[in-house]
Amino acid sequence: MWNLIRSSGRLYTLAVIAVILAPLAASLVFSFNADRFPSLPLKGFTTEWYVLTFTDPLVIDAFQRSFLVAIPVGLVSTLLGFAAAYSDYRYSFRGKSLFNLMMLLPPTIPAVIMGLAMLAYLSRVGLAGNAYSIFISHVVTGLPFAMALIRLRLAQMDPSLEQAAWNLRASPVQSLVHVVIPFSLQSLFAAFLITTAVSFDEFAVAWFVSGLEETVPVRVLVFLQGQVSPRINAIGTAIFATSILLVVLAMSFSGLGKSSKPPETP
Amino acid sequence: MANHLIEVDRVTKSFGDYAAVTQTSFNVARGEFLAIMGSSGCGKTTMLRMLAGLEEPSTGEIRLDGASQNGLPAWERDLPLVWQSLALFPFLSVLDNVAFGLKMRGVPKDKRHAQSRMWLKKLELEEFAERNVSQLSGGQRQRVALARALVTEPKVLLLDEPLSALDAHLSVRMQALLRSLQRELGITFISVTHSQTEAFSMADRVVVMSRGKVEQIGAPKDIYRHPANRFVAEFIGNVNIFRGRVESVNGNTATLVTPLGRMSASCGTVKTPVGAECDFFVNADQMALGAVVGNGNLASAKLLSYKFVGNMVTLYLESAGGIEIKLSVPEHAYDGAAVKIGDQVLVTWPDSAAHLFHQSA
Repeated sequence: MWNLIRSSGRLYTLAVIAVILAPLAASLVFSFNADRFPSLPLKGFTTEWYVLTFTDPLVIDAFQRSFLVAIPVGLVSTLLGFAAAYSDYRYSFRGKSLFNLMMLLPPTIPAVIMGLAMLAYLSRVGLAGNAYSIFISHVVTGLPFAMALIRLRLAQMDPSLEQAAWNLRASPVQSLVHVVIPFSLQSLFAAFLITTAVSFDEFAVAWFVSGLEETVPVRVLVFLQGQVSPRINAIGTAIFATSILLVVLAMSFSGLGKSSKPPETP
Repeated sequence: MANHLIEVDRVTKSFGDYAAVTQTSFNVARGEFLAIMGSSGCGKTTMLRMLAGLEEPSTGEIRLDGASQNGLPAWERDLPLVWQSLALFPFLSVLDNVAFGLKMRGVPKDKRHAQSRMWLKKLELEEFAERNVSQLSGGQRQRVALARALVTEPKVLLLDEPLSALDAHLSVRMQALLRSLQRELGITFISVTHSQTEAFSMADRVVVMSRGKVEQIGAPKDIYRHPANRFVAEFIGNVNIFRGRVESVNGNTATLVTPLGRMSASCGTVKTPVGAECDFFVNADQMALGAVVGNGNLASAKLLSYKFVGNMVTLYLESAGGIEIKLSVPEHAYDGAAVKIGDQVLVTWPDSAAHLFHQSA
């Protein structure tokens, strides 16, 4: 009986994973299919769509812009996320729970609303329609993820660790540099990679605020509006590969993907 | 130069309405091993944290070498602490943990590593220098924490429940190590503990605290033989406390009327008016079973239970009126008396074993 439950549980898990991965797998398969139309049977292997995609100056431009935005977004979100998580860990102050609520709010707002609000605000202060506007909006979107990850790590820190550093004549700044940051280093890497991935993938907000400065997801939509081209599959697979790489790296840093063994430290 | 290395002068620490430490004063001599003892919540850890600068006294002053430490942040003091949780840095090797304090002082790398290795060697840890602290046993980690605190060769070492995480066997070895280190280095140790055994076996002097106040300060033997008040006596746990009305005072000896009969107790310097109700105590190990010796005191009680503690037996008795009596006798004396549970027995003690408390509490 128990074996039956176990094997059906396993089967169910596999089914869920299959459903999630099916569209991505289809995209991957068709991106190498010689036929212009995504239909079976497959007509043969080609890399033509990749060549076409990555020689298109608009696509190259979009990829460059995406990375140009995503990496600074990752850096700044991680920095601010650390500052917020550390304030939460170290200090108690009036309105702390409100502060935490505000910090974690952005992911709960529908992306379209967020995009509209960002556009309305940024255009009023004269920052709409350029790479800065995407950067600012994505920091807002990514910050909660960074804070949550780093907070999780700091929660594992023995509060006497920092005090032990002071007791050994480390000033608060030295303690931060020599104790708190090394302790949370893995979560900082993880936060950087996750927020970079969030920015790289994000479409709705970017679509509203980017104007003519397209990021990759925005470029994809423009493709789709024009024609159904197999290049979509190629570009989609490339985006997916990039994001999954970032997330897998982040998981290996944060230890989220590992079993409950104590995190190894260098 | 001040007479005392550390002076704690009428220190009070309040957290909101709660006073963790109230009007506490004591001094610590150079090279002394002082234990601050009390049950949890008595303010001993707050006291230690104030010494380390992790808490600021609400009122009063702490002086080191005559200089006030008030307002001096923890990182500008030179009072390393061995933490109850050890608080070793998990991302650093054993060597870098030990060298941390030197690094913060700007000692160059080769020098601080050489000095740290010397301390690791002293504490028999040199082979673990490159390991991560998580790969060490509890006793080894404890010694790393000790090395980390001692590497800067401070004048004073603070210890917060240094042995609480160790098993009984390791704890005894650690006690010996701490004691010999302290003698060898001539450093002043201030150790906080809830354990009487720990405090009494290591310290030169013990400060007994309860509810934020000092109850008694003295050498372990004095505290053991002459607890100053009822609280200390109960904390030490090896005494009987009786209550009686003073009938007469003759020199150093008071005669009291108690529910157990008329008894004598030495009152030392305590001024006791005739007719006053007061407590006195008798050490459990100064009582005996059986016949009266000399001008002794006598009580009759029923044996309720007994407990073997090494080669001593602790007997729990109850006399008429429900007064409990506890005595510890050598095992052979217990065997010789041949008493069973439920038997009515006679308990005797000499006048010199009974004392009035110096303080009422």
